[in-house]
Amino acid sequence: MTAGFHRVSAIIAADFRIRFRRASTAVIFVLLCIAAYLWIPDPSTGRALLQMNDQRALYNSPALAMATASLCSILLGFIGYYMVSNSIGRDTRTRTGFIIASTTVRNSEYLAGIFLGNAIFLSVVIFGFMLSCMAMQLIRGEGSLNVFSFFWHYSILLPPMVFFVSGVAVLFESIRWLSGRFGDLVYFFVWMFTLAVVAISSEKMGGVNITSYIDTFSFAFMLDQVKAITHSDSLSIGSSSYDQKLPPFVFGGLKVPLVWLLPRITSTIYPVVFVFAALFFFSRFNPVKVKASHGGFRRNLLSRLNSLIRPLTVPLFALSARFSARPGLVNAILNDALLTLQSYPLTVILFFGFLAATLISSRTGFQSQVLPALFVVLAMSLAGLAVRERRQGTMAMIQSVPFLKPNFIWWKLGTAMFIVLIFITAPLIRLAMFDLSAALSFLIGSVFVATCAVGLGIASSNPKTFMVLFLLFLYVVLNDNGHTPGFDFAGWYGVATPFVQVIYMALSAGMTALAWLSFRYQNEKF
Amino acid sequence: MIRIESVSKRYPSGTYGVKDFSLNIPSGVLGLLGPNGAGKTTLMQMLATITRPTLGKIFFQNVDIDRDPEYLRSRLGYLPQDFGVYDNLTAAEFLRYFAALKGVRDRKKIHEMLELVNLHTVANRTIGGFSGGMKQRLGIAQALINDPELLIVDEPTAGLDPEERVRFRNILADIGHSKLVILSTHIVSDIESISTEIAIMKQGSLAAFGTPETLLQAAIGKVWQCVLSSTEFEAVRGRLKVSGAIRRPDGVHLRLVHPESPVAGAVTTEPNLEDTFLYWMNFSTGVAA
Repeated sequence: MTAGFHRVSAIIAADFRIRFRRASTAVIFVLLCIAAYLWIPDPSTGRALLQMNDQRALYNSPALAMATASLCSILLGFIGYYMVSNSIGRDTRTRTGFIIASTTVRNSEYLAGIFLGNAIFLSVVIFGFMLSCMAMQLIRGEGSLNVFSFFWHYSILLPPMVFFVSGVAVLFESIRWLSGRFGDLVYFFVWMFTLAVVAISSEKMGGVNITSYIDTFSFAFMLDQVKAITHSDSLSIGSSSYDQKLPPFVFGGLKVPLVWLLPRITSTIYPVVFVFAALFFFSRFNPVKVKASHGGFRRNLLSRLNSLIRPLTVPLFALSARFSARPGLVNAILNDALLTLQSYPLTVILFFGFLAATLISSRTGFQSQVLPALFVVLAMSLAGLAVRERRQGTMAMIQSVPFLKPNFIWWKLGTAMFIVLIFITAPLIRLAMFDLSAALSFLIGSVFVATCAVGLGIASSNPKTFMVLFLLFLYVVLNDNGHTPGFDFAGWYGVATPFVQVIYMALSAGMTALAWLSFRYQNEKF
Repeated sequence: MIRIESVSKRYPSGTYGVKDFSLNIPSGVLGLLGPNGAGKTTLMQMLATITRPTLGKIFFQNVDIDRDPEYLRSRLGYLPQDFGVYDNLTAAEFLRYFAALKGVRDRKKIHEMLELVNLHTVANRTIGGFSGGMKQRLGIAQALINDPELLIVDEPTAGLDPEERVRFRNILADIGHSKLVILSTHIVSDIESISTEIAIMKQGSLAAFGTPETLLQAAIGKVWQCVLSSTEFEAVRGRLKVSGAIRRPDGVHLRLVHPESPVAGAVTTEPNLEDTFLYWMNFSTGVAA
């Protein structure tokens, strides 16, 4: 074993141990089991996982394996990034990066170790999901379990995604301005773009085309093969209703024809390019660059913009001095809200931008473009709010303030609501002028976002949890484009029913309860 | 062993962390003293090859470490300031990880190090449950695991209890017999007992360098003792450098650092290293003693 190989394997082993001893990893496995349960519904309920022309597929191993692997590729292709993009950041935060930098580990070895660590972690998560799906086949009881079929479909469909996510995570973590929350947002668009490009090109061109060589989510390959096998374009994967009068069809499984061999191999290995690119940007924990990018937190593109804008917003923040001098929950809320805006002055400028857009945009543009953009900004502003103290190590100080410890949740919720209120007041008034029901949905949706930010933030002690789940939800809502009233959570399409509004109110209450219970549990450990 | 030639570190903001710093250190224990922001950590980071000098050169055993950092890295043990750990690893796993990164294959070494820092009984416990002092000892163990020829430790005794501090000082003193140890600290007593040479840094530059004896000699006649009433003490404490004050029935017994007699009736006394540090920081303009 060469010295380099020994070092890389040590990095992978340490990374593996660190990740698999976290409680959050256990939570991920539980969620995957739940996902498998929900995605593979009992056909007697009128819903099925895989359908073609309203005809459901028999729950045999090839059908379940192909469908669940495809869903896993899309979902984990998104969430996976947020799960693994913290390895270099972890070494920076703990300052163990300085020790690593002072050893003979080469940059290429370190980045290779991180890349493979990411890939192994994702592979194990996928393996866990695959076991859950196998268990679901046993539970649903259609066709005998063929373990080999599961392994075959998972190995031909998922490695490109695993390497893509691992490679992009290493690259983004190595680039200063992409290593923070801005990078988290950028990945959302990268994911959407990658998915869309391959899906559109495979629909328009079909067969093996140029995008088949970067078919990260195996979408083009899977669609092409299903089409070749079943001679049908109509394929639906994911729990949905089917025609119970039609008999189930038997899906025999995917094969890899020779023409697809090279595209599959290229799709799997091209993300290694990201690791090579990362080598150019990786600073090897140089304190000058680490200071610039972390300086307490990360100095990315957003931070730079914030620094530029800060002088313009100074008069607004003179207010914070008034509130900080007076004790009391209301003043603490106002002070915390101003501190949040003070930390990100860009949001103040965006507020004025939204105000202008509210006044001048057309009704359609206002509802379907301005409001979703407003929610993206709100999500970014609120993501770190509830975890700020814990991550900065000021929790003990905050808890020593007499009224804040018992009221921490109300303090954070109050701050989130106050920030939301600043942003939504003008749009809410405009919306109410032409659609009262949509305005009510908008208000409920805003409260829902605020409670989600606080609830998920406190429960996971990580701002990424909220960001990831909210962006994923946003993707679904935008793709649904108002067809399903249940997804019109904030009145963007004006189709939410009173029942939907009640559901989102209930979910907001649930998030508040989650925040409260999590905080209580965490405090017991304190 | 280490030769630092006119090294400067300039940050993108234009400020200097270290400015025109030169020093030649053979072996032993070099104590690096200086107030916060003096540039000690920046200098140590340059010596540990974590960051590069903007100007100047650093040679280790006559090898330019900017050109060949690997040469130094394979012989280096480094403990950074405010060192953190991976909470989910056990002490043994943590050391095994850094041993692997440093190319140490001998598994016995891990147990030896854990014994050295008195953590062998908790080798299989996760570090998350360790006290600050225990984590610091683990950091010290990782710095020593590859038998370094150059050991750089930044504030290593912070968080250690008195017994552990003495134990650690002895470890450093032992290593300093044959190798070079560079130790930065605010705790003057740590340096006093083990340093063979001391460098005092001020605003990124070298304010003084020499053996403890030569630095102490330079402060002879500059340290004064006197007894003042509480009222007199309150009047002078703001304008004089007070290195010690003890309240007794006859008044406040003061140790003052000043080039000339600071108050009437003050008599000179033998300086200690703390007085010397104050003298070099506030009154001396010389670069090296």
